[in-house]
Amino acid sequence: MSAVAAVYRVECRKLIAQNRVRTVLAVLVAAPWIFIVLLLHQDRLPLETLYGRYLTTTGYATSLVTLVFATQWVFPLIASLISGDIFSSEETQGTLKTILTRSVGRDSVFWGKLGAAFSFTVLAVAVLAVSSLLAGLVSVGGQPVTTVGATLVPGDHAVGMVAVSWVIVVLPVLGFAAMAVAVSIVTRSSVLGVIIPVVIGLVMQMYTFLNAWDTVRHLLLNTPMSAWRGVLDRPAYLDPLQHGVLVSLGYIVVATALGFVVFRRRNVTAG
Amino acid sequence: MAHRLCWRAAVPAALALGMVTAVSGCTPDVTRERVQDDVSTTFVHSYKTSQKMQDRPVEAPKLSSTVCHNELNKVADAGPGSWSCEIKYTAPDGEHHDDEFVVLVDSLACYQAFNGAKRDKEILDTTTHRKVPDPAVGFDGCFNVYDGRTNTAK
Repeated sequence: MSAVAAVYRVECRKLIAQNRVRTVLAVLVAAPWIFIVLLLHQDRLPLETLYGRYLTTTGYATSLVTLVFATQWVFPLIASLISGDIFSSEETQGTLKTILTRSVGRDSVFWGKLGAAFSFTVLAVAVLAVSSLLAGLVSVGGQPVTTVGATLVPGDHAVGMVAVSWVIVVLPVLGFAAMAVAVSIVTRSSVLGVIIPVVIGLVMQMYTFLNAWDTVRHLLLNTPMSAWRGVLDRPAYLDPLQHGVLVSLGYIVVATALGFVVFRRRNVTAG
Repeated sequence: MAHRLCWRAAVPAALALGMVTAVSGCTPDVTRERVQDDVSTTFVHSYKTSQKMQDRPVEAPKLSSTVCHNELNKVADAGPGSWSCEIKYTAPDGEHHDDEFVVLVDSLACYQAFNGAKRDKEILDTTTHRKVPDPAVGFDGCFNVYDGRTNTAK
């Protein structure tokens, strides 16, 4: 266990030292502020977006609209940028051999790296959540929120609702992170590790635009990422969340198992 | 040997998954029943929210009927896209209304509804003393697609 923790600590230090990761976090901090400032300087509201009509009514809508956009396009990108080369970069730089001949075992390296990738993915989601919430509260204020069931929720209760919404998306985002890690291991390519999960995310998103089989859509990661909408409805319903947890865990387990098996069998001396 | 066992397990599993997908895929998530139910309920809540924001006595309008149709998929009358909903109701002051709402339903079972004629109407929120879009003429809604209601009859 201490070996996993040691790898985890080292990997976290490596991740935070990367310019790419720092840039992603900086963009996530700045983007909601830019969004709400620009929006407050225009006449029309994005009425065709969920919660868009409330952007000037309550600050909490900034965070919820940011969440709607992020579930569509941003989260797969974040997960890929952070997790997509955590293994393949070692292959590219030829450092995997040196890591695996140290005192930690191959399993510890895998779980330590996976833990670091997941932790930074969650950190990125948390940064966007806090930044968008602060941007809304500072720019617009903490007025009551009108839910999708058209009931008013007082500002002090709305904080919890918004926080729960962001927590709900973490599991499906980790599904994309697990995919990125698996692709990074299987392909040994940082480029593919970043691009392939993003492309998969885009394909999933495009499928949701089609009027195609709904059952297939329920098995994609976009659906669990939108499960928070039911939790915020009044009366709330939890079926999409329960279903989404199973789907997300399915992606995480399958992708992690694939990455683990391939990493265990990898002949590092040949590379 | 292990590979053969894997294939023997994987092929039936894939076939079963495919059959489940094919069979259950026939029932759409966005049905007329779900849209009508949710739009009418959310409209009543929105109307009351609008009154509350204007510091008026909160009374629900009396709904006479809500009839929704999919404008893009008129044959199946189901699925995401643009829907039109006609809501007939009597306001608390006794005035009868027959309002047409455009309802944009996404595939994840949420929608934005607009009263076509009064889309940009604003009200004065007496709490914040700011003009805000009137919830009674435009509102967002979501409905549960796992509620077991699979009736697609028109």
